Amino acid sequence: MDKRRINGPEISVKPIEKKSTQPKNNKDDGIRKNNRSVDNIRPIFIKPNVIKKANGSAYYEAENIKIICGVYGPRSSKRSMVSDEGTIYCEFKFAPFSCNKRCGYIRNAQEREYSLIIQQAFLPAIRLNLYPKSSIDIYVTVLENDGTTACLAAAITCISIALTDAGIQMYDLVAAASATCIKGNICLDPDASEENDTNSKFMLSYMPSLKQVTHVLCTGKMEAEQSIEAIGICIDACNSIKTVMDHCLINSH
Amino acid sequence: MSATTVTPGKKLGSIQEYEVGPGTYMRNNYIYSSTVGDIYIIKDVNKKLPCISVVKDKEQSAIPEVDSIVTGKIIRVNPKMATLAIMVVGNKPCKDDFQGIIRVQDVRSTEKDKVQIYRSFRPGDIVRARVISLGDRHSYYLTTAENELGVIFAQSISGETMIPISWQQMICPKTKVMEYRKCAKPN
Amino acid sequence: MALISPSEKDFITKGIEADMRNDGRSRIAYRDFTIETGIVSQASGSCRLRLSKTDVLIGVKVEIGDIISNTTSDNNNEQEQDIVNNQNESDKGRIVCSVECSPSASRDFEGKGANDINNELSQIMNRVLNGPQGGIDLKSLCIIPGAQCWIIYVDVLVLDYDGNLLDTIFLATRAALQNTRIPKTEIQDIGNGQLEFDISDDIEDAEKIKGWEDVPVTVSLNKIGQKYIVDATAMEELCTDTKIIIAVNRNGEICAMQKSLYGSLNPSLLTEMIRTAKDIGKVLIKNLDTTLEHEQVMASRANNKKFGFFI
Repeated sequence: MDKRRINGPEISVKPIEKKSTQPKNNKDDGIRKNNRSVDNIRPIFIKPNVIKKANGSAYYEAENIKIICGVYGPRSSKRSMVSDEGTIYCEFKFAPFSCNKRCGYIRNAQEREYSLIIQQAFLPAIRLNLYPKSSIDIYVTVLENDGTTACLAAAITCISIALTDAGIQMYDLVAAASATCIKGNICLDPDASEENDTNSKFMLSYMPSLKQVTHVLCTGKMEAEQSIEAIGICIDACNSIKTVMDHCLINSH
Repeated sequence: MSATTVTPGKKLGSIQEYEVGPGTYMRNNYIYSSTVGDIYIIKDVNKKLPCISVVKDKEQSAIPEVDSIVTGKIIRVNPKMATLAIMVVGNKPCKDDFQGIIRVQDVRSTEKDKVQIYRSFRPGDIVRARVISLGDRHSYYLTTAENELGVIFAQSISGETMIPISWQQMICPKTKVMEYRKCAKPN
Repeated sequence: MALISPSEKDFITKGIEADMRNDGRSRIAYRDFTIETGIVSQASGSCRLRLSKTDVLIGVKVEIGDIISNTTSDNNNEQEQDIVNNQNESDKGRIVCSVECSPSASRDFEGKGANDINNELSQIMNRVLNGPQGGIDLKSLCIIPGAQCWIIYVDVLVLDYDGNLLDTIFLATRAALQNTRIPKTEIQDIGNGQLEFDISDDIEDAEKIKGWEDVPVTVSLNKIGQKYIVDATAMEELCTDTKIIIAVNRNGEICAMQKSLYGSLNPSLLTEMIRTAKDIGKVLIKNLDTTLEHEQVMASRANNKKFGFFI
């Protein structure tokens, strides 16, 4: 023991984490926290053309979810072989400061999976036969995450606006909605605290005019009839999101 | 913003009323819009039905199509071909360059076997060419085998802009040195 | 990349509309499968399942590991960190799955070609099995809360491929987990609140994994033209434009659902697919369980003599 120096403690102990207490929901019939109703989607704000360098871009905000997306293309693709149709390449990333726990700056497996999901959600919607041998590159960054499934749905909606802003021809806009099952009820647009409490997560992306489902993702136990109910509820939500997207595009044109 | 602004997926009419134009597509006998923009209905005397199209204000990036005229800069030459960075398709600029090659047999239409690439193009020349095909993995295939196609702008060794004097030669106005290029017919 | 000619694609599509597939099955008929469990002696549990030509070998190993809670961030294993990020409690074990498609199974799996498909399949497995929908009681895998737990490593090796890979993998996983035995642990309190545990060496003492009966199986539905089929062969998969994977457990509950490939579908078709998948899933699990029971009976009669592997 060095007497010339002031030594620190020999044993270090992990700091005690105090679990935050959830505010009790005072309403007796309140199923969700924050007094939201089961079919309430957080109000959406979308602004296109925010990144000047990109062909198209959009910024999406819904309470505590903030997403920015840039679309480049159609441009020459170095990675694919010759094909008579264009290809879509997507990179989805959570900003390191966006989640509760710091995400690294290298994409992890979940982000790579979400990138693939977004690519599959848009393949039926974009007129790729007009862009042979070219690639449409989509880059999405989540600036603030409040519910991972809700972020994925929001990203899909944001990308539709960015693609339209880039002038890329599409068969229809793609809207996406997320849901979860709380106490047997299907609740739309779950935030992070609701997502942590339940186990079931549901996300659906839909083309409202053509009435086609372009992607569905569900984890967690649900009865078959409940998942069918969730599909119907999410489709209604997508129809309302479409009016918001139309309004935003027409106003900024 | 006008009353006729539409978004992708909006039903515009049936195929009995209109013809499909740019920015629209047909599905199940109905015409839908495929981009955001204003509706234009153009009556064409040659066709029975008016053509409906949706036009977006903001310029979208162009991509080379077969038989379109492209303009670009020569970036590399070798005895078999010249590599071009395509920058403009028709009148629309490309946000990102595409790559095209002009093979030795596509430089001019006569005496194809006697062509020397170094006497037709040099790196840095601006060339107007036509797209023959989508080509291979890396590049589009282009041709300059027409009178109006070829070098439209080149700099001499001394740095001056050269003036074309014939379809094979260009002269530097300052040093009066003549260089060989496959020139485009000035219009 | 595997290619299919337009005439062949047309032939298959028209056949499916008439409810007649190339091998004579109806649209919702499954091929027969053969199964062997307990074939890899070094693994805690194993299974080999052949669904016609698709051949999958699964080895399950249980190991002791640290319980990684959300607060520690010094774990370098990316896959495990992803699984942990989705868990909150410090009294649960975990299941880590990895899929490897052997290059001998198909030309597409050579070199880096298999990376994408390996990642996708591993992600789906991890997502389905970790959590209450996966059936397995993760709390029973905990040895010392906050410190040590059992980690179940499920490693899948694809030996041959003729379509419908994911369904085969899940059927085999369920069988392998049924076959897995976890050694018994005894926890001793050595004072100061510290706990130590001992692993029993006795093979007879090993226990089955709690909750293996609730492990779901997946039903892959491929949409071709306007109809959908179940259990597609490799050729039929090349004609598919949309594929829906639905995980069903023995009670008919949906444990996961995901769409893949490039097409889109009507909501009414999706609803019909979910209902069909639920019925087919329950029947599949029943068939699998019956086959496993039968195998147990045969094994006990033959006194555990195993003949040959690649038969």
